[in-house]
Formats: sequence, structure tokens, C-alpha cells
Amino acid sequence: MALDRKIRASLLSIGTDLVLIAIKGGLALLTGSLALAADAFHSLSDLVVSISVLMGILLRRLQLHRLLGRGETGTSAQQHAAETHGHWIESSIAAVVSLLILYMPVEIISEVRASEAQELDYAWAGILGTLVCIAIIYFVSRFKIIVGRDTNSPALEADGYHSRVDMFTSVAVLFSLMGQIIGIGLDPIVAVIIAVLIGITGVDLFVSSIVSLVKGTDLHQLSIWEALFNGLNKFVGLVSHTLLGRRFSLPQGFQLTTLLHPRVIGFSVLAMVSVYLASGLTVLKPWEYGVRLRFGEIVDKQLEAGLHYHLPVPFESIVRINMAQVRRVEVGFRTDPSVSAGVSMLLWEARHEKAGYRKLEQESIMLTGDQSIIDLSMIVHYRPRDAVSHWLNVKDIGEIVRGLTEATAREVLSAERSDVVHSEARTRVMEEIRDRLTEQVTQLALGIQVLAVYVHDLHPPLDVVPAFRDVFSAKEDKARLLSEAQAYRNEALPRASGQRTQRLAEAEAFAVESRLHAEGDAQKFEQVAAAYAEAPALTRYRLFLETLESGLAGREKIIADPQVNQGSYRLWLFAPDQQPTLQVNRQRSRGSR
Amino acid sequence: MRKTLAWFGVLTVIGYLFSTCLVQVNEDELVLITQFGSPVRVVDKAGLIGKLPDPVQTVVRLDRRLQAIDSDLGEYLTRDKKNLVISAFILWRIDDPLKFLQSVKDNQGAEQRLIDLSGSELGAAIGNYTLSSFLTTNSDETRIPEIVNSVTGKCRTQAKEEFGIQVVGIRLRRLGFPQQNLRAVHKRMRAERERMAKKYRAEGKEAAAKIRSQTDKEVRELLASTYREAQIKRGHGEAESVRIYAKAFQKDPDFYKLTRTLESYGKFLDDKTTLILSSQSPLFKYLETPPDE
Repeated sequence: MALDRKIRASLLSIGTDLVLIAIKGGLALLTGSLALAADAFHSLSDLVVSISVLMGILLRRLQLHRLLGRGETGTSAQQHAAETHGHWIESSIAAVVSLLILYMPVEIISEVRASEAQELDYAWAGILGTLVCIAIIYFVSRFKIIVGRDTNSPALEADGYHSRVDMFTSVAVLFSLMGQIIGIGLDPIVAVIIAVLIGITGVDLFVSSIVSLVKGTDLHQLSIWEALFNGLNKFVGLVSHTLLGRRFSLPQGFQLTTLLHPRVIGFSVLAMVSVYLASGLTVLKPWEYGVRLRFGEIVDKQLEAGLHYHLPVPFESIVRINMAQVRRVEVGFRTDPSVSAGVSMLLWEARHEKAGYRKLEQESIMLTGDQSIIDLSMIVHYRPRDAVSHWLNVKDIGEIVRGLTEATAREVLSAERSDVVHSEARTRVMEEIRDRLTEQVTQLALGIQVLAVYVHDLHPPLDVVPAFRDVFSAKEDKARLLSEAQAYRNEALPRASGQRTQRLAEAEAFAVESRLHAEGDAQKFEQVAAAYAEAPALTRYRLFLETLESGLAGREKIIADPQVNQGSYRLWLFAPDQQPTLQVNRQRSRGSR
Repeated sequence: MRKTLAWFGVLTVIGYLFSTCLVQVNEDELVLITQFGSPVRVVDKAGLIGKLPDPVQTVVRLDRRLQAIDSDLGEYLTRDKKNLVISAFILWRIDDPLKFLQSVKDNQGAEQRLIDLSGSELGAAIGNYTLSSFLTTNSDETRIPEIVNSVTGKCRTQAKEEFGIQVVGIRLRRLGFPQQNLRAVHKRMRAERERMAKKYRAEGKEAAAKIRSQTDKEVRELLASTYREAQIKRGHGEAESVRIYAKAFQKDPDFYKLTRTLESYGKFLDDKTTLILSSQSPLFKYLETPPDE
């Protein structure tokens, strides 16, 4: 019978833990709170413990049944042996499970170290869910304690107290979430605390399972920590009871008296009032301004950074306005902030299709003063300047900035020529757009400061892009032709100059040569003439003969005697390599030689 | 038990009264309190106000912030019969809640009226201006601010009187040509670009030809002057050599003539020369008549 009750209690624990894991896990995903995730792990560790306990019980029962079934008349010694054997199995499971549990804090702490401080979403939902969890744990633990007492089962009662200890981790999560609303980041700290608690549970289980294995006794989970939390729990309950509990006189014979103890109600009321009052605490970060509202009316326009208190919700509230954050408006295109890591400049002919990028031609196609069309997309950066007017006077500041920017850009472009907008006037045009936009923003008291208007994309319509590119190529062609001509000139002029130098030098050389030759010849002549003058007739004759020798030697010669041919030379003329035309004459002439 | 029920009832009533008699007016709201449908009070200051409970007096909350709407694209004719596609960007806020409620009822109605109003005013204004008032390369000639201001002024007066709306500003958000004209505009832009491209290329060719011909001219000039100088130098040299020869030969002209003649003989009596000599020549004096000693 005692075993059956144990099973029932285990099943109850398992069921409760499953529900708690579901709630906490869901909330952790919703809010992104690490403390909630850690608490879900905590419940998971409880679940694992409960399941291991249940398995141990079932195994022991199975063994017992087998023994009893076989022996039928089992001695008490046999039964004892079976139970001891059962202890061994249970303790081993517990040891393995404790190792599993010990891994969880490691996981949580690494998660905490990896994550960066971030705002939680739906903190209020987290608070409500955590309150539900606390209530569930509270009632289940009360139930266990009461049933344990009634059935005189100290184990179940102890389990109930253990569940109550679990409640404290959920309360810690509650504080963390409330701190988040105020603006204090407790989340990682609470997560670490819970991780430590889980670690303690794991160590606890491990030590007791080892002890049980060594001693061969029943598995007892008792530790100083549990005792400490029990003491704390009782102390808090007592204080709240003495403070408030007496004032609440609940009707006697109330059905749930045993569950809803007056001191519990007192404690709950105290907690709720403090939570309510504490909701007025607000921390403003250095870059934030706060506006304090009382019944919707502004009572304090610019709260500086720091801790502030306002009356709780229906009376007062503080609105935070982030003054430092530079906001961005896209004109002519939209990006999906979740997709685009960075929007880079685009090529002219690109069709501008990318994940998370959407081109809005209606916004970006603009007319210029020369009735041409250009495609201009812009990004405007602005920042709130006056918290109140920015927030109160304008319904959708981004949309208004976008509309004004677009209108201003069209106005400015309508007085510009398209080709200068693409080139030299680009910066000036953007500056003019920014200046006119600033002027209008001031005039309309939008409470913002326009920081810059950037060109995101500026190009001619896609149909015209090839023609634009061709103009560029033509410019390049022109430059190329010019530089080719220049290169020709650079080559031709030095070459001509070289020729000039060369020719002049040649002429110079010729002149010198002629003079020197003449001088040489003249001197030679003078010397020879002087020698000649010494014996003119002989020398003349010698020279004559020498000349004849060198001139006539080896030449074909015909010596004719006028007496032979009577002065007629006609027959003698023939080409040197031809046969003489008159054999007789030739032979005769030869003979006459 | 009855007592408990009575307490419960009283609490409910008090709760109801609290919730309906106290009204929180936010800074961004205008609140109109109507009594059985007829307006009795306009609250334009934020804070907590009291009123009679709900079936008697009800609250209508209106947004007092600056709002923006875009009118649909409309096609308008300018004075010189050019089509322009324009849409207006209208900034407005509720000025007189009572008039607003009576005339346009809600934001949607207000937006529709404003779009109609601005559309007709724009049409009228644009018809008075030529296309060059919108698109001009001379920034002094643009009339857009003027047009926008006159439209804003007219709309402002009318909206205020009729709808209780303050028109803060109207801007020309879209300004373009009809879709059908775009192709023609693209064609013209392309033609312009082509013209520019041709111009650049022609300019390039012209300048290159200029440089080349200039270079050629310079080179020829240089070479010609070189020729002149070289010839002068050669002439100097030759003249001098002539002078030197003449001076030397003058000393013994006969000898020069002799040697030079003999030299010439040596030169022109070459391999191909066939000589026909007379045996009477003095050269052969001893050939036919041996010298008698």
C-alpha cells in the first residue's frame, strides 16, 4: 500500500513538472528571458528526478513480485534482500540522473555568457505566467504536505517541502521580470542563481545516491540547503501571518481553509501590493528622456536619466523616448530590417532585386528640369530633438518625413539639368534637399533634427542606361584619340630633330673634308710642280709614258698605218667581243701588226 | 447572504460610476463630450475630467496629432496643354472637433474630402501655368512653391470653414508624365545621349587630326630648314676647296694641265676602251723607225 501512494505522489510530481515546463518554456521563448529558461530547466531537472524515482519504485515492485510469486512463502530475509537489491537499482539510476542534472547548470551558464543584454518582450505576460506557476507549485506543495501528513508519509511531506523550495526560484524569476519593466537587468543574475540551485540539487542527489549505494540503505534526499529554504519559507510565512493574517477573518468552515491558510493570504496580499507599488519604478538609460504623465497630462517634460518613481498605472506613467537613436527613412525603396544585413550601393543596370529589398519606382522615378527622368532613391537620417513635440504632435513621423523628402527632392530636381545631377551637381542637390527639408521640419514643428539625406541609388531610367554608358565611352574614345595623336607628335618631333642633327653634322663633315682634301691636294701639287720645274721636259715625257703604260697596258689596241688603209677606218669598227665583220681585213690588220 | 449581495451590488455600481464618470484625456487627443448625441463640451487639455455617466454623456476621442495622406495620382493639363501626373501630400490635423464630427465624421471621411478638395484646387491651379513653370533648368523660373502655396491657401480656408480641419501643408509628392509619354521621353533622352556621344567622338577625331597635321607640318619645316643649313655648310666647304685648288694650280698651270690630263687618261682608259692608234703617232716613232744611234 505504501508503494502505491508513492507511485501516486510521483505521478502527481511528474504531471506538475510537465505543466510547469510547458508554461515556463513557452514564456521563455516568448519573452527571451534567460531566467525563465533556467527555471524551465529547473523544472526539467525535477521531472527527471521524479521519473527516476518512479522507475526505481516500479523496478523494486517488479522484483518483489517476482520473488514473492516464485517463492510464494518468501521469508522476511528474502524480502529484505530483494528490497536491498531494489535500493541498489534506484540509487544507480539516481546517480546517473544526478550527472544529467549537473550538466544543466553548465548549459545555462554558457547560455548566459553567450547572450548580450537585451530587452525582454512581453514582460507582463511573463510575470502573469510566472505568478500562475508559483500558484501551481504552491498548491501542489501544500497538497503533498497535507496528504503526506494525513497518510502519515514523511517522504511525501518532504517532497512537498521540496516543491516549496522550487517556488523560490520562480519568485526570483518574478523579480527579474519586474526589474526588467523598471529597467534593471537582473535576468542573467537570476539565471545564474537558478543554475547554481540546480547544480546543488544535482550534487545533492549524487551524494545521496553514492551514500545509499555504499551503505545499502534507502535513498534519502536531505540536505542543508533544503533545510535552509524550509526555514526561510516558514519565517516569511510567519512574518506575513503576524503582520496581516489576523486582519483577514475568513468565515469558519471554509472548504479550502487547509489550503488557503490566513498567513498565506496575508503574504500574497502583501506581495501584490508591493509589486503594484514597485511597478512605478522606472530606470531611464543615459540616452533616454522620460515624460511623466498624470492622467494623460504631461507633468514633467524632460526627466533625465536615472531611477524615477511614478505612481502606479492608472495615475501616472512615464514614457521613455530614445533621443540618441538615429532613425532612418527610406525613400524609393524599402528594406526588410530582419533580412537585410546591409544595403549596398547598386549597379545602374541591376534590376534591384534582392531578398528583403523592394524597389518602389513610383517613389523614385523623378523628373528633372530638362524634362528628363532620373531614378533617385534616398535615405534620410533623423533624430528626435524635442521629446514632447516629436511624440505628441505627429502621428507617424516616418511617413511624414518620407513624404516631405520625396516632395522636396522633386521640387529641387525640377530645376536642375539631368546630366549635372548625375555628375558635378550631385552633392549640391543632396545638400539642397537636406536644407529645404530641415526648413520644413522646423516650420512644421515636427520636433526632429534631420541629420543627413543620402543618395542610396541615383541613375538614369534603365532603358536609357546603355545610351548613358555610350556617352561615357565616347568621352573615353575622345581622350584616346587625343592621346594617340599626342603620342604621334611626341614621337615625330624628336625623330625629326634627330634627323636634323645628323644631317647638319654630315654637311659639316663634308665641308671639312672638302677643305682638307683640297689643302692636301694643293700641297701635293705644289711639291710635285716644284720638282717638275727642275726638269720639265724629261719629267713631262716620263709622266706621259707612265700614263700610257698604265692606261694602255692590257687594253685592246689597233694600231693602223695610214699608208695601209689610206685613212679609211670604217672597216675597223666592231664591238670588242664580236667577230670582225671582214675576216680578211682583220687578218690583214693582224698580220700588219 | 443578502447583505453580501447588497455589498456586491453597491460595489458594482460604484465601480461603474468610476469607470464612466472619470475620463482621462491624453495629450494627443481631443475629446468631445456628447449628451444624448448632441455635443456639449470640447476638451482640448489633457488630464482627468468628470462627466455624467455613460448613457447620458458619451465621449468621442479624436486624434489631434499631425497626420498625412497621399492623394491618388491625378492627370492634369497645364496651360500649354501638356499632361502632368501629380499626387499631393497633405499634412493636416483636426482643428475644430465639433465641425469635424458634423461634417466628415471620422478620419476616413476627412481624408476623402481633403483628397477631393486638393485635387480640384490643384487642377485649377495647374491649368494656369505652363509646363516650364514646373520643369525648368533656370531655378528662378520655377513656380512650384508659388503653386503649392496658393493651393494650400485655398484648401486651408475651405477645409477650416467646412470640415474643421487645419491644412498644415500641401506638397507635390509625385510629379511626372503619363505612362504613355514615358517611352517618348526615354527615346528623347536616348537620342540626346547619342548626340552627345557622337559629338565627343567627332571632337576627338578633329582634335587628333589637328595635332597630327600640325606635327607633320612642324617636322617638314624642321627638315627643310635643316636641308638649307646643311647645303650652306657644304657650299662653304666646297667653295673653300675650290679656292685652295685654284690658288695652288695657279702657280704652275701648265703642269697642272699636264698632270690632270694624264690623270684623266688614266681614268677614262678602262677595260672597255679600244684604241685605234695611228702608227704615225710620235708614240710609235721608234716602233717603225728604230732610232739610229
